[in-house]
Amino acid sequence: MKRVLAILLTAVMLVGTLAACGGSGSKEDSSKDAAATDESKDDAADDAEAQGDTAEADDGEKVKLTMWWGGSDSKAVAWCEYLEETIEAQCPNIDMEVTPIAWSEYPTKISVSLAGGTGPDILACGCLMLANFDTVEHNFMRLDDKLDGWDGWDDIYPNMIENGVVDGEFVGCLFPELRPFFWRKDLFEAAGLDPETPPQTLDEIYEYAEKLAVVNEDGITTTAGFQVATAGSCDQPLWALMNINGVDSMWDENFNLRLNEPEVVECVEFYNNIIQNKICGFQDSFDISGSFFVNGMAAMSLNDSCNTVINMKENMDWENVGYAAPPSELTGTYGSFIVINNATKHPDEAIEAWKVVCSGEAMLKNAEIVGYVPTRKSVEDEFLAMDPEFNSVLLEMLPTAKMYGVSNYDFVYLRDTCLNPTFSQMFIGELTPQECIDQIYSLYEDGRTIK
Amino acid sequence: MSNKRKFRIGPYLFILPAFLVSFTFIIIPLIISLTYSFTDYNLISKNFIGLGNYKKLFTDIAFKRALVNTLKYTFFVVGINAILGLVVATFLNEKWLRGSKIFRTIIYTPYTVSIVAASMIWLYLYDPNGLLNVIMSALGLKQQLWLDNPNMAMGCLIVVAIWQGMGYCMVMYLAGYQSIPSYLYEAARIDGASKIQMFFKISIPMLAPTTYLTLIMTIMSSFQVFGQVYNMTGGGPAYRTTTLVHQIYMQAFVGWKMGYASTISVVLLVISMTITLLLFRYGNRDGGAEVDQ
Repeated sequence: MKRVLAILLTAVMLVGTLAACGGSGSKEDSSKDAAATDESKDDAADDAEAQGDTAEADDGEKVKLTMWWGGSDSKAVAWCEYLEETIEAQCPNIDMEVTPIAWSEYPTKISVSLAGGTGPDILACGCLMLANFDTVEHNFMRLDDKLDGWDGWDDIYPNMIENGVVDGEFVGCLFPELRPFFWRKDLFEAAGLDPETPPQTLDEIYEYAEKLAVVNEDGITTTAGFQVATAGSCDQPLWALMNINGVDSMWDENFNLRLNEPEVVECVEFYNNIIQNKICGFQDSFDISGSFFVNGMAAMSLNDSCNTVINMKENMDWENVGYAAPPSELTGTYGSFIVINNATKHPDEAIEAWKVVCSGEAMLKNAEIVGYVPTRKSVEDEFLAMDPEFNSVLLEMLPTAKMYGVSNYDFVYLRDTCLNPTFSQMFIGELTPQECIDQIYSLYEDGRTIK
Repeated sequence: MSNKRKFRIGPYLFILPAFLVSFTFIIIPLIISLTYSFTDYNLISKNFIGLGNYKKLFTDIAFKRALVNTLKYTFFVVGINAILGLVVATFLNEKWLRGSKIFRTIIYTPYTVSIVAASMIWLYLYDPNGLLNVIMSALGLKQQLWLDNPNMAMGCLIVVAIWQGMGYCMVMYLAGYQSIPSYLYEAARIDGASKIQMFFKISIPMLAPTTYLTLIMTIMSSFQVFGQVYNMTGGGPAYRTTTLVHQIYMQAFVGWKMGYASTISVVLLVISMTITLLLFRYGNRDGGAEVDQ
């Protein structure tokens, strides 16, 4: 009797344990449970179907599609709701679900879901993530031969189409955010500089920044002459400085670094001098204060045209802020690519939904809610009307804006494991600029996947 | 009388579920991780490279700094928490202290706060324009860069760990004090022993098992430090706050170098097990040491 009871109790506990560990079949649980495996995408897609990810609705006609969007604040939520309504209105055969996901967990979520074959049908892939997810394993649909007659080919700026090309094939439409040059007119005036004329070269930027920087008695920079990052994203100011100095790429066609070229070495030395001479204090993504410029603690900056500009307009005296295209022929662009998952069970419907997301109307709405810049020439006038002065600067930058990370699989490795920590060593005086460049080369060559 | 024990399947059945869970979620991943450490697995390909990853450890700046930082962090956090926890528990255990329950709650509360929330709180304090620098200015002291100062950043994280972990040590020692027979103190008092003598001759030896347990728990958790590093400094400035677990994360989920990340995790496992085994071997688990006369 005791043995029977023992066996029964054990069985109950075992069942309970296994039930607690099992998934519920929802998309969220599926993507959490999926591990990076070597299963073929077909097998994984069968699993996804078994879990009900793409179950058809009761009326038999509607197809359920899912989309992920990076960002989970109120603006992202409003944008996702707009997309759901608009796609369902324009494509009655589609039951659309658009999910906003916090940026902090987005790359891992995409990675796990793609590896497990349970990713969404459409997703907004961060521009700097595209390399990891698509350059080696083509996780995203090639669209060149699937968009016959699509108006975007002629309507979207050619460089923006080019930004979405991986290995010679178009994979997605970029929703860009640009980096205009901002300055504080009042601080310019106080320093005896013309408030309407920003600097035009690296030397001028440094000269202006020296006059504008304020350092307190404790040696802490309270007003940065020119804002740069010191941790977390040093690559972005470096890229902007390289553009100003006439360099159009961080690597050659074989992804070998170009950091030893004289123009780039100049930029690295410039960057280091800004920090060593306290023209800018230490500022990284971990500071609660946020951007120096938005908090009124920097005189000049290259900030994004998206979230930061919204913050500026809300928190600063916008009339006192000067803005212009950076003094370079080429400017950098960031943002999110709208791509279609290769493993989608409903490719035709996904393409139809994708076209709605990338339409002029949706791009304008996104500009209004989230702040990305519309890349279609047909909606330029409406975009300009939203904010004639500022948006005219963005439209001036748009035709020459270029992505720099999308083609290199090892870009994130370069940035986070090689460049950022090594720059940090340079800023605290452990390395000279040349030693910094040499170490970045060494780390990159040692760890790059694509050689 | 038969010395043969009758085999009973019941106990084994009862531990079977726990064993299955441990086997599935601990043993198997451990074995997989060990095998990955001999490969260059990066989510695209997986090739056997022998000891290549282990050789790389000797030249990897980030790993060497992470190892030193982790050992430094563990030494200071464990040492200071244990000492402070003991001192505070000793005071709170005194009958004459009023409001001891309130003090206990106040000191223990940080331990209940999630590490992310704690990191956000301390980020505000350590901000160059934050409360700490405001206080420094008000007191006529020099403002500091705190987390941006390479010589202070690790110290700042250690302070956070002490603020949060000291309450746990205090509670452990308070519980330990309850198990010390009161007649020992009475006898010592009759013999004319001072408070200090009673502390060193009675309390500390009798608290040996508690100390042993507290050390093991805090050493294990210190070796796994990640939350503060990820949320507050990202391992910087210049590798000054990166730790072993942080490097595992960076290599695996930022650099996609799963094989190399597995190697670092094996090293962490070896270090942790070595320390645990040493503590088991030489630590005083039995306690109840003979009181010094």
